[in-house]
Amino acid sequence: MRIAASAIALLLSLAAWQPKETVVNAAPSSSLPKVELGTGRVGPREIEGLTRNKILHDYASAWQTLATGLEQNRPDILNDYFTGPANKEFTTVIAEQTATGIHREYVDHGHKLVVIFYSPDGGVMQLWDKAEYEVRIFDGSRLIHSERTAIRFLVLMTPAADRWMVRLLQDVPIA
Amino acid sequence: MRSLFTLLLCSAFLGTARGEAALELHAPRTVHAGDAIAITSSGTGSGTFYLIGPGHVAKRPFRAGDTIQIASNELQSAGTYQAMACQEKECATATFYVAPSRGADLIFLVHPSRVPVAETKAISAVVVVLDRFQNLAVPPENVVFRATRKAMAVSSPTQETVNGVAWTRLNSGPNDGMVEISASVSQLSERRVVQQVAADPCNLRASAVKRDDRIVLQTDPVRDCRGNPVRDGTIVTFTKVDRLGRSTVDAPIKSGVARTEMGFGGPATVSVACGVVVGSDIRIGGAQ
Repeated sequence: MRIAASAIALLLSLAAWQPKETVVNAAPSSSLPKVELGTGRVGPREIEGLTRNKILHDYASAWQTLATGLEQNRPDILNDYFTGPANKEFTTVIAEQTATGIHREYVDHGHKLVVIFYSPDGGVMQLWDKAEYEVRIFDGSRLIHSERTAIRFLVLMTPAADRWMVRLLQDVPIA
Repeated sequence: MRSLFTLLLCSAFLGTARGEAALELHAPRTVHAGDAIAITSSGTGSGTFYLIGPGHVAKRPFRAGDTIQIASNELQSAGTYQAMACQEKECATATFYVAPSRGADLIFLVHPSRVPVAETKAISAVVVVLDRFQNLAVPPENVVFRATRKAMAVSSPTQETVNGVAWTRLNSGPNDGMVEISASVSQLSERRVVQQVAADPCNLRASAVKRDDRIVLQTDPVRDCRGNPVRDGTIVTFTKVDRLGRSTVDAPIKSGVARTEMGFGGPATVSVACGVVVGSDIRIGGAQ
């Protein structure tokens, strides 16, 4: 009887076990959105600890910048963390929001990043971001839409002089 | 109580019969970037229509029951869009996804721009495939990397992009000179030029000629082990040790050789070095 109970307990504990992505770092500042970086399969270049910390900080800062930009309709601040197509896209959106009297507020509930590609020369990094946030869309002061959502983003980041910049931020349906 | 309930039921029925249908929007679930779509609406009255997307925001009046046309230039950014129709007291929402279209543009990153000859996996080439609206072309695309030098070309096996990205590492060739690295996706092609330069010098030799109170030092033509001339401007260091001590002169290679003059104050030993390569010593004056 005791052996049978032990076997059942063992089976239950095995069933409960799931392969987890180890979270090795998190963006430290409390004012920034919570960003975690999992240890997925990375290649072909290894990510050094300093790079890992920088990515966490800069990606969190990019989201903070984007949220502020879309809430206050300030395209000027995008240049801090966005470049290339992402910068162009969000600058256009903010200009159109300003013209139509629309703004968006984000309540960020966190980002789970997984690096899927880091180029051999260290010039490009591609990541998945599983983001959770609440977005409220206003026309003037009227709230016209509010939802809490989980979205998966494909992110392309490239290094600049002293930080990593978001070059592409594209949401992809969760399969 | 029963009569009140009957009254409420009747008024609800009459409202529906008069055509006061709830405000609704119906959009296709998925479209491709750059496609125009039509969103159907139901209900009565007029209001404001909003289109909120990752790269576009629009606002315009609408009449419930009409079909709302969304032009192709409003759906260029890939991502999730919200179509919303709002009247005084209520809003209806339809969510749809704009998928990237086929690859139409390449970001091609090749590193480094200058590489020593005959090095394994020395050149990194990364291609990012974008559609014509600069969205990441996520569906797999076939990529061929090619290295071309003069009349000779070497192609990599065809590989598929993963999440819009493909990469490879190439060996540098045996001879110095320009090599063109290209990436091709369907009819698209991007190329970059990499300069292959001689590797470290091989068998570094120098000679010394005494002229009055000077020594003229000159290397033989400096080449790597495959016979490629080491590029001009590369620094060769001459070091002389005599009774007065040690003195050093750095001389750049010019037309394949490095040349300098040093003072002669008695028997001396001169050594020559270039990078990590050291040549044999030369003894001048005194017992040879």
